[in-house]
Amino acid sequence: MMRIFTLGALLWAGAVQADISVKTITSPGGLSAWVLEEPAIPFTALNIMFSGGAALDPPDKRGAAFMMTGLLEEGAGDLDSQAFAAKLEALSASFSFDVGDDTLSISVRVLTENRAEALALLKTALMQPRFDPDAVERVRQQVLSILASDAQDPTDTAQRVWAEQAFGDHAYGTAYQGTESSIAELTRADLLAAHQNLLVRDTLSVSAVGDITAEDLGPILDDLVGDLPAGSALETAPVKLDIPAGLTVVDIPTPQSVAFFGHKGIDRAHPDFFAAFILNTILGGRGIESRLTAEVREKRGLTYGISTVLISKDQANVMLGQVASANDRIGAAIEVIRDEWSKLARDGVTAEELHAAQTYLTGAYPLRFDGNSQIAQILVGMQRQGLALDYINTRNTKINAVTLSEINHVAAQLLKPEALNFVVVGQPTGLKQE
Amino acid sequence: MIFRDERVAQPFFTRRYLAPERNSGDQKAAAALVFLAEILGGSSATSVLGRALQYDTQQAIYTSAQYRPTALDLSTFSLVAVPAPGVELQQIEDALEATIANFMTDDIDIELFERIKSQFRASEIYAIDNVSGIARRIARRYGAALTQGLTVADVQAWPQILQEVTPEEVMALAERVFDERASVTGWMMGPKEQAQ
Repeated sequence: MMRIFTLGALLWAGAVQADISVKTITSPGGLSAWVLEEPAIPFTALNIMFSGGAALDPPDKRGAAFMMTGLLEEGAGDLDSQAFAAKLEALSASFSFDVGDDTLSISVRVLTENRAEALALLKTALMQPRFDPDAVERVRQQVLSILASDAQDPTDTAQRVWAEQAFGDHAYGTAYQGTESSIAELTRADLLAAHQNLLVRDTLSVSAVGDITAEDLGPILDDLVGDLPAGSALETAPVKLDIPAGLTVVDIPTPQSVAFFGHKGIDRAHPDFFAAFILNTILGGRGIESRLTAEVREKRGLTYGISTVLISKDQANVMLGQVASANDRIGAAIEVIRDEWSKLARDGVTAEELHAAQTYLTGAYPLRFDGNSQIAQILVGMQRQGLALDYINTRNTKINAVTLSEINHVAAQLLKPEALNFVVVGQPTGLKQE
Repeated sequence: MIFRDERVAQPFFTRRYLAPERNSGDQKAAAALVFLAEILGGSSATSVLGRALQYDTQQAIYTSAQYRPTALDLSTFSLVAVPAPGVELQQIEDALEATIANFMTDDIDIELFERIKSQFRASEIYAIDNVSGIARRIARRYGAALTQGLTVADVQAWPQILQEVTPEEVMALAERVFDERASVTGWMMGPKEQAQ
């Protein structure tokens, strides 16, 4: 079964109008995938994404999914860690395994000349990872080293404390990399359990872009992941989002303070999401000069960088900002942020600001479709979010359709200056803990 | 040189040698050094330092060899090692020196050498991929090269020069570069670690 959908997306930076024809396929074994045939360059980018990630770690096993994912390339089948790496190098393929709270994804590049052999190697990594004791210990030390560095880093610390306050006991409230004590105690059995929980067939999204045909992909996919256990991933626990409003100072001796600030966000599937997305771009997004950049950086010279972002996790949505400033100036920066938040909630944006943001966002969108690996990643993300194939065409239309009254209604609903929670890491002067 | 800071969570050892850079019409030495960096510290699982210090003796949790072929004046070739918990910087320095000494007397691992060569060939294929990315990359490749006196012909010849590097050339460059008198050693450490 095959359905073809032609997307008239304007690609290649305005130089050429290229149609990208993404096809959806269902394999003989019943797996579905999206494929974009680009035979010009002799390699294929493949992206495999499992729904369900590190947030499924049992509470006392935080870091199990992260460590397990790191061990997938540390030996599989007959090959120990070093033999596996040598084989991968000999094939000039690359596998990159990446886990977050909600997903585990695998980005693959394989040359056409040895595609079958490279994918057979990938299959052993997915189906028969060894988790050899020496590999487990080596990766454990690497993770502990990462955690030790993060604990000294003001930005990582600010982010961690903000998440802790926002999400409390939920897995989102701790780093998916685990803690020193949880990592120290993880056993091989914990890693096997994480592998069993996360790598299941029915939570898969797959995309392939490059020198591969829709006809070939089905059987290749059945062979690669068809033998994974069926069954859906466990559900990530719902979050009771109760972000405290206020300001916390975490004392770390450093000349510059880092602050994270934010409150509740908005779901990607919410009808107001596009208006909120544009609103965030105007307030603190990147690409055009945002209000926060203009006020905090340009006019007052309080920082080199300030930004905000809408974060949509499976079980929680937040609007989160970040700024760094000298210890004696961070207080002034925070005051400006609160003022700008209030002003925008009260008065909204101007028609000129809306138009400039729409022009920027719609113009920048095609630039994301930059190469097989990038496109494969976008396509798999779209499937995961339940977006239709035609989203690539309709997305800019939806951005342009947002009116001034809609965005200003959302500004009043979404932006709550009194609800902002600040976490400041450093040795700020003149700031009171709230 | 010893640098101490209380924010250093992870001490590490680094040694940097002066090394030749790419010159117009004369890029062979730089190409051999690109191989040397990959052989010594490219992949932690298969490179010489990774195998010896991370796998066999597990004295390090990270090792690397770094070389930038494009520079106006002389470039540098660096070795880095992050010791495992409980391993002193002096120990890791000694172990790294012993590993390099063995490398200088042993034959080069030909399989490793050939794998690196085929990866360079594949990277030219992968590099054709993204369109604006490639425009940027090509611009940078040429821009960076031209600012340091290379010609367009030099840039075009580079992938082929990489493919023609021999193990003997790599060893000859290793002899030339690993000269302690033209090196700087650095220990990055927190306040608690003992210096020599």
